Amino acid sequence: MTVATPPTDASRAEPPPNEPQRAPARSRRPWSSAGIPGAPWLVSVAGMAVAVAVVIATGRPDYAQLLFQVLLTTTFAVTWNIIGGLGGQHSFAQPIFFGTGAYFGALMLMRWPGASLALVMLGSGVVAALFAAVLTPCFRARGPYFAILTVAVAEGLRIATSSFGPGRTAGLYLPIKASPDDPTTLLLALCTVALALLTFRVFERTVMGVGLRMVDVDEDAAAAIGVPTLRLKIVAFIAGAPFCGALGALFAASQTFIDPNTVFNLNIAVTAILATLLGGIGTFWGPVIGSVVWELLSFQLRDWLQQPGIILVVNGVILLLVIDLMPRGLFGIGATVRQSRFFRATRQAGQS
Amino acid sequence: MSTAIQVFFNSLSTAAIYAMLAIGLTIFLGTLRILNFAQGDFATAGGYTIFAVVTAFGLSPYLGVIAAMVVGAALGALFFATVQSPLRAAPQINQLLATFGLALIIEGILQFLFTATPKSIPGSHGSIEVLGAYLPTASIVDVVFAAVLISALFLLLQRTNLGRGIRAVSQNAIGASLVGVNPRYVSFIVCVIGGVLSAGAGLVLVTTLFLTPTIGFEQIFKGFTVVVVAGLGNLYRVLIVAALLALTESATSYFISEGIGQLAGFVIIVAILLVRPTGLGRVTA
Amino acid sequence: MATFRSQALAVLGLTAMLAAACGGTSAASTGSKAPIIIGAYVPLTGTVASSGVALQQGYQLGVAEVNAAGGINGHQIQLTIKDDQGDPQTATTVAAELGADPTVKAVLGTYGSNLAAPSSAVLEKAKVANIQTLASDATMVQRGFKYLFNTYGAAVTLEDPLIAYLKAGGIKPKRVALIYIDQPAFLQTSNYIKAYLQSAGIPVVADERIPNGLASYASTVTKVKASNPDFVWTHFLGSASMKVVLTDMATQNFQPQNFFSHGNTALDPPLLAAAGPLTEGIYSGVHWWPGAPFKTNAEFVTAYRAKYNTDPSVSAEGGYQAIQILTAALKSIKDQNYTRDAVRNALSKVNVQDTVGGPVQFAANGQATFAGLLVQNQKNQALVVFPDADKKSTTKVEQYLNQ
Repeated sequence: MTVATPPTDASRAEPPPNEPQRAPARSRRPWSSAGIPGAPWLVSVAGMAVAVAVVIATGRPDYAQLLFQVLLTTTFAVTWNIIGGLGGQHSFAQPIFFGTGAYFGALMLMRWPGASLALVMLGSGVVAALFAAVLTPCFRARGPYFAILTVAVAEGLRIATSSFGPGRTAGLYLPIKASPDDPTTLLLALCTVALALLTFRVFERTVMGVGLRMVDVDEDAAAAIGVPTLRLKIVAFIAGAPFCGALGALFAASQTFIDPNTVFNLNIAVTAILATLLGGIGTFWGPVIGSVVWELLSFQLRDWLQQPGIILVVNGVILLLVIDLMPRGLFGIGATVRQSRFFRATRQAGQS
Repeated sequence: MSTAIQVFFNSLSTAAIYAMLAIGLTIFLGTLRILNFAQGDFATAGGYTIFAVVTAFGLSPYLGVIAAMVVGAALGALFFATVQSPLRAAPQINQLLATFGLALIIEGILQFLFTATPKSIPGSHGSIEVLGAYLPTASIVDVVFAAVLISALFLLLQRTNLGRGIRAVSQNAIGASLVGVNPRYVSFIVCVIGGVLSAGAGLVLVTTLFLTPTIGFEQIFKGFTVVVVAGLGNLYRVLIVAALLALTESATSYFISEGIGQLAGFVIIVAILLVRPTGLGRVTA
Repeated sequence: MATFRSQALAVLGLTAMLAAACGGTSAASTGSKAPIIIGAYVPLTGTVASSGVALQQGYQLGVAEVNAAGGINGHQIQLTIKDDQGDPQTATTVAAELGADPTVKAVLGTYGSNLAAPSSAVLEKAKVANIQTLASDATMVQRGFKYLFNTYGAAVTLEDPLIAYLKAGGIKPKRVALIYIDQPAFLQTSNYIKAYLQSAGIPVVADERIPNGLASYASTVTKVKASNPDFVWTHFLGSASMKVVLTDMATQNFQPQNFFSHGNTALDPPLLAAAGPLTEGIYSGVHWWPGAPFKTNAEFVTAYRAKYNTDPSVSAEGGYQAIQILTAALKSIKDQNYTRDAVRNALSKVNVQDTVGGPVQFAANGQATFAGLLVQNQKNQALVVFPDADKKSTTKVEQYLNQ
């Protein structure tokens, strides 16, 4: 008995079923909207560069501090978006990377005050990535348990540093290396954000992003058809760490003071997730828009509302409103509008 | 030997706090699949209610607890309206963050009403001498109170139709609706019960500690530890794990230092989740 | 339910706020004589909010009194207060905002060295005088700053009255136990007292470092009780932890003969309200308390009680004292030209005899005179035990840093 062989007739040949449809080569050029890094990346980095230039030109330290905060939040949001937005794994690990980088950078700067800040940031990024690699066993847990685990590690690190770390609860003072209105600080922050956005773009536009989205939808089914789910999750997780770590070192240098409650603070993770949700989870522009809007909003609220309790209430109400009413975030507001009952009802009424 | 007994007695009040917080979390996580970050703030609100009742009307804290439970029920209803109901079908992360939002709102309202100055009511300092060690009377009250609340909950779940409905929904929501249980009604009741229980934890908070608007949020991680280790599905296991966690902390604090005692909880949670990623309980559907 | 209207409102609201965020200048006020604008930043929210609110109340009470009495040669003082949320980064931001505002002539600082240290660096760069009132880290004034004025002294200064009392034989401890919060600043004070005890040949039978903010310190109390001390030395950060320790001591029937607490912790009104009987007989090393016999203190306490319904804490006193010092400095500017440098120079030369905390004068590095007394809680009142209020401290602070 002979084994049936596939037809060799050229007219009946089809491309193998698993090969992805290749887009025409033209639209994947680096400056196009679908390429790597692509138009969105160029536009966003250019926009941030303009903002940095304007703020440096005005020379106002409070604007510089605000812009620094915006860049920080954007990095946290973008790196979270890789593992959380694309991959659906809700990690609260950003503060772990940020804090590790901050303490490593602080210790380096205290030991060698003349060291190049860029080098220290690089070192902190590497250390943060190594720490992320150490944390990969966390992926044995899934869903809410994974979230709790990352929260537990973050909180545990905070308590451990408060109890046994350098400086304990009182924190570390550094010799003044840079300050937020120093142009170098903003430029270094800008570079870090640009690299983080580039990393996201790489994930988003390559087969890794496809795989991550499959993991998000149904991890077991994805594994069943051969997607290397664990490897993807680990890579996405580690990929976001160095940028948070580098910014931690920059933060330590520019603030000249760090303590466990500030750098291992879960609010960093909450703000990153909130900013991403606000802007549009899983999209490129989501974290960027969300971070800018949220930071400006917080800044303005602080000024307007004097009563501290009211500020908290307003923050919470905004959070709830965003989550309840705008699940696709600002970036997806068009889609949300089109799907809303009110809109569909009025359209029907108009058509009849 | 009396040292060992003293270490055990030292752990009782904290065991009561952990147990009440953890039971509330278990209710939310087991039935509604929501990780409720606002749980601790329900307890804080309950504590502040007791404080307000005691200082404004001069009543006993135990009458204050009734008022606290009413407040807890209201907060549970608020939770249902703002978090549970709108986000039934939303991704988990949305629900998680929404509970954060609710936590902020409660903290803000408490800060506005009571300011951030730490508040407390005089607790009892008495103790009974047992087997060479001192058992604080406050601990006895806390443990009895927790036991009463939890037994009431257990009776509700096992002996009433409502309890059967809750258990059905927690095992299989679709199946439960097929046999005639109204999931929305059950969800609402579960939210209210969770609120009532958490507010009860406020009694222990206000007599043991100083209340600040954020104190509940800080205590919630111990509740998470207990829930994760005990798993879902068995209330008694939650009680035992809560007691064991408190005892471990107390023992570690005594034999090594308080700092390491605090760390014990987190080490346990990380270790257990690495070995058994779904916690120690039975995996629910 | 996502309706179009709510979506649009949300987006419009956010856009409006965005637009408004690009503006934002402080409104100028009109009056017969231009007001002197003083900035201040305090933690109104966050973990140390209660101290921040008290500090703000001290500032506000002081300014209200000065303005009611005619202001500074007819100029009213206008206070601009910002919330630094108890977060060092926010403190740096708001300090930078105040420093960048040219109408602000001086800045009043916040609570705690972790907030004061980085933010005062920013204010130094902005070249505006800032008075920090509640920062006890001795390194604050060792950075060569010209614009920093620190009214709080190094923490070890408050140990001197106890040591003097021990030397004079007021208490003769035979076995000393130490309980203190595990933080570098508290290590300074504990090392300081341990050094004295060692030199005096008094054995230390327990040395317990505890984290702050726990619900129970029963294990530590059990350990300390087992070592059988007759004198317990403590340094707490805030009275919440102290209340827990005292309660645990009461339930375990541990009553040492003598108990000392660094600073105003044992005199904190919330602690006295919740656990007054447990504080009976506790010694405290303080630089001020509501019953202190300084010249303007009694009126201050009465006015504060009338306005805020509670006794002032040391934070409130720090705030009020800062206003007293600033007022004296401003009044000394004869030509009424209140530039930033004029204010700074006036502060550096000021010598105020009658603040609520005693006489104040700033050294070249910006540190004010600061001395301690030993008081004891008797029926919720503090009574002076030792020594006279006007003696200055002779502590060698530098030895006890960086340990």
